[in-house]
Amino acid sequence: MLCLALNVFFVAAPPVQAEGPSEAQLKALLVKVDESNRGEASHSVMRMSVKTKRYERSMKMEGWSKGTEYSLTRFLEPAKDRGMATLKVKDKLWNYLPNTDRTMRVPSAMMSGAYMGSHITNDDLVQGTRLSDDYTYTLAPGAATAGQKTIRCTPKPKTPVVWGYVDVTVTDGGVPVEQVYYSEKKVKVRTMTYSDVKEVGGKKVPHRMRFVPHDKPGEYTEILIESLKLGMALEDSLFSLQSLRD
Amino acid sequence: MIFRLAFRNLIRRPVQSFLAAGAVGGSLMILIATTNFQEGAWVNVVRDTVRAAAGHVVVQPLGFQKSKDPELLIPDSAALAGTIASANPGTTVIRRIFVGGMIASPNNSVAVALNGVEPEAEKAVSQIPEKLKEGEWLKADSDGEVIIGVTLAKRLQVSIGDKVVVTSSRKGELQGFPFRVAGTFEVGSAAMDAFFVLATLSAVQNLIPDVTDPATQVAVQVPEFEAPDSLLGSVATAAGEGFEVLPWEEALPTLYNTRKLDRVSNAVTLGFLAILSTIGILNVLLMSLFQRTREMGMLQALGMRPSGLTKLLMAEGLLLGVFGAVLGLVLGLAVSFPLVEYGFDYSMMQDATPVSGVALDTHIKGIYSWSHTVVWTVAHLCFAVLAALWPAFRAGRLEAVDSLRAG
Amino acid sequence: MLTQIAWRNLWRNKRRTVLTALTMGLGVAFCIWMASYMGGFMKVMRGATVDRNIGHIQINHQDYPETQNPYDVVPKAQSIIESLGQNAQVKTVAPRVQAYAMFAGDDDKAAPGKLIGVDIAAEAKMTEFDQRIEDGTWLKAPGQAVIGRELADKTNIKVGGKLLVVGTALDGSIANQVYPVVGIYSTGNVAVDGGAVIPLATAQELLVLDGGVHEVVVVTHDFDRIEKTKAELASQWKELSVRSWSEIAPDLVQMEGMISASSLIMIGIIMFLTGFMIINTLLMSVYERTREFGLLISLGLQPPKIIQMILLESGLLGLVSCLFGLALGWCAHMGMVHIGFPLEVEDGKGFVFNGVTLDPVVYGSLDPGALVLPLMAVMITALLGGIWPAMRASRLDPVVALAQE
Repeated sequence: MLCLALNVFFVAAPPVQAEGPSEAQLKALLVKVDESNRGEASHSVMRMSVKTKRYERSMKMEGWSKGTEYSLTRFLEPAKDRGMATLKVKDKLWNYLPNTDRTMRVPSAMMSGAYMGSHITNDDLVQGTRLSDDYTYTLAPGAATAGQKTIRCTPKPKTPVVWGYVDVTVTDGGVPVEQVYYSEKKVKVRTMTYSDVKEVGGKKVPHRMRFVPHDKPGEYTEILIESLKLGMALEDSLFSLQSLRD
Repeated sequence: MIFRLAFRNLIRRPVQSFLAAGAVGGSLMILIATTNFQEGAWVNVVRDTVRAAAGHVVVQPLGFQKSKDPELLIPDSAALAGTIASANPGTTVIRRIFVGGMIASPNNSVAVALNGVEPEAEKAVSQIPEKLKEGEWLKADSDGEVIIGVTLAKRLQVSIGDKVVVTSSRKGELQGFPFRVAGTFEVGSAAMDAFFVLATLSAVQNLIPDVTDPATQVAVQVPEFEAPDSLLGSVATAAGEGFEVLPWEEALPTLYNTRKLDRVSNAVTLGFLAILSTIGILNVLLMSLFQRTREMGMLQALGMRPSGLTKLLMAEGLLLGVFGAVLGLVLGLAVSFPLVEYGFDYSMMQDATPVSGVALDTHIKGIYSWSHTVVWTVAHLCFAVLAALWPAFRAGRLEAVDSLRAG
Repeated sequence: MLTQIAWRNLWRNKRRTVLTALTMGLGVAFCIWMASYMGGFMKVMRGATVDRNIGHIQINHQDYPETQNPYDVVPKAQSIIESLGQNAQVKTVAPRVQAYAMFAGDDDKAAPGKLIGVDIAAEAKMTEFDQRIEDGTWLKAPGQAVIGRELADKTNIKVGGKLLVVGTALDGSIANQVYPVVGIYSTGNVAVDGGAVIPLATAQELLVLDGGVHEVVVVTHDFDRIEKTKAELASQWKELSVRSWSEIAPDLVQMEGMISASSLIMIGIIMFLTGFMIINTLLMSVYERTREFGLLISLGLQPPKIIQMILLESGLLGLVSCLFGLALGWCAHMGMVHIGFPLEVEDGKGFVFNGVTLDPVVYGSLDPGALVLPLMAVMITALLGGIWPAMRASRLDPVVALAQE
């Protein structure tokens, strides 16, 4: 899950150079970040709150991730969902259902479905970083807040994403602040905001992420990181169907 | 000579003659018009459906017809199509691919049926290019374009020129590409307008990287309405092993069965109309001929031979039949004309029901079915002559004295 | 008195009268046979779609008909069901839960499909679902499941196996449960056969519905009174959507309309043909009796009376034809009732319409009201056909007429 938080579509850029970075520079930054994240292990405890027109839920999960390719999430609360787990290996997703002691692979038909009733889709979980080949990067127009840069990522013609462009706002220190997704008609469709930045293992990590769909006023999904450890050694075997069950 | 007499006899009783001829004519008119209309309806349906959804003969992956499993594909389809085409000159060979997939816009994501087609070839046979509400049909190089139904466009909240992402859901490997909406169609069928997505064959093939040049169907069509019986065998031989080669009757069983059913009920109705008209004609002729017993007696007394009487009555019957048939033919064709030229649009009454995945044109036109017209006309002539037989022979056996006394 | 004379006039030429009556009667008989067939066909159609599927009246959440959203639930369904049970017009009440879910057998091959929660007894009574079971048995207790043939094939589940159901509950959580499969059914409805059916309470528990359902399907005793019953129910529950079958399946209504339309055309054609006959018959009969009319007129019979007499003749002829037609038609109808008309598509299976498989044989079904039209048509044709000959007869010049041979 943490990989989701940090890597949904793009990765926060590390320190950005002086005024008017060239596209090549922006590109280089993203490549560098992606490599630095490769193999980065994490262990966290999170709380996800979802508010929709129909219901309000709050779930507590424990998650492990290795880079952007592997992640294992176990649900602790509420009691009804306790024991449920999600495993992501590259672009495949499995759910474990303790109630029935069954593992189910999430088929492509369900990929656009909501994850655990939140505003995040299964697809979002699976999408890794798309690199420089897929986007062009420029500075977003408009006045920039001091200490922050907003990079406009425009998908190239062949990139299979529905967005017109995504504005990624990061601090000069490389911490994500906000990601806003626009349709081609320049309408804001969804916004992801990051806040509560704390330092963990030498890195600055936002501990609160809020996801707001603009076509559904009043609804949101919020993820709060309650505890986070980085950089431990995690075996690849942790990310397997067996672990899913334990 | 006899005919002149017969003719004058008929003219003497204009009303009755007209009624008799009218019975023949009226019945013939109804039968001709009804048949032309029904045949037209079916020809249109069959032709449109066969061309749009299949072909006179189709080549599909083994087992596809039964399971309709979208995982079954024919690899290297272009080569196969080429082989079949060269073995069967004069036919049109079209390739199509059907797979399940998803289409996504910023606002929504829907599971759809993807149809990959050859734009130029498909335009000639499919009805969708004519039902485009906005935008244009695909072109040979339109690999980045899709045509979707108006209902789907609404659900996705997209219009012409907007970007969508199409993914194929094949065996878990998700392959997606961005497309632009080039056109929207409205066929009138809820299912098609909400779930059909059309793209070029090559575009859909790009979504299936694990198979080379795949297709679901290689369809063979001939320009005529019916394909020669030899076509099936010829295509099967050219295709070789490993495929199922089917005539359209097997590829589109629903259509075939619907037509069979309709034919049966039509036959029953027309059969009954035929019986009714025969009896009617019989009735009219019999009566008009019977009541002239005295007249017959008179003629006999004047020297006419019994056989002459018989011939006279037969001649009258024949003439009546001819007049009636001509009348019926003219009227029948006159009524058929507006049906054939303008047709009858029943869309106000009903939603276009898709049969075998093709929404039927709600505008039905008749066609001139000459074979049926000839049959009905000759039949009515025969009815008239047959109807004259009984009274004719009876007249021949009358005793002049008795006849004169009667009336 | 005039009637008696008219009657006797008819029978003076037995052959002609009989022949005409026969022909017209045949026309009537065919109309009756057609009505019987159409009636039977409509019954089959209705049975398959209305009676066995959508019911006569449906009660849903206000928004449900349009959104089909599983969140639009009819709350506190139990009290509604009880109240309906006390309504004299109501025959059966079948509440249902409708949802989409993922199904899987023992492997992880998941297939999406329809999940329906039903009242075990009411559903069997209304839709005869229990007779659609091909392998195994119908639901008997909570916590069981029956699955469609298509789903069974896709997931490789057999009777005695287990069905995993995964869906989204109303509170947003993942609903998942495993149920033992006690039967496999085949309804002919493609969507239903690709899914599963479980008991209502089980579905409510799985999806956290808190006693709600998606549809309450009602079958009434009196089909013809449906609209009225529906109005009564609608006023009872103003905040819910109450619809009759004609609102739910308008294409069925249209089909019935088209069938009626084509029946009318047939009757019209038949009347057109038989009209010729009547006119001819009467004209000839009048012509033969020219001298007689001349006599009657010179004896003082008024023209109006002549018209009356001839019209009576034609009317009586029409009547005789009707009687004959009725008799013959009745036989044809009986034939339809007992033998029926085969509507097969391929070895015993019926025709598929809108995803529903119809019966392979259509049995005759006659609504006495359907007889009225053809009979009336014949009578009217007969009377109309008599007008011209009657006018001609009344205008005869007695002198000329008497001289006629």
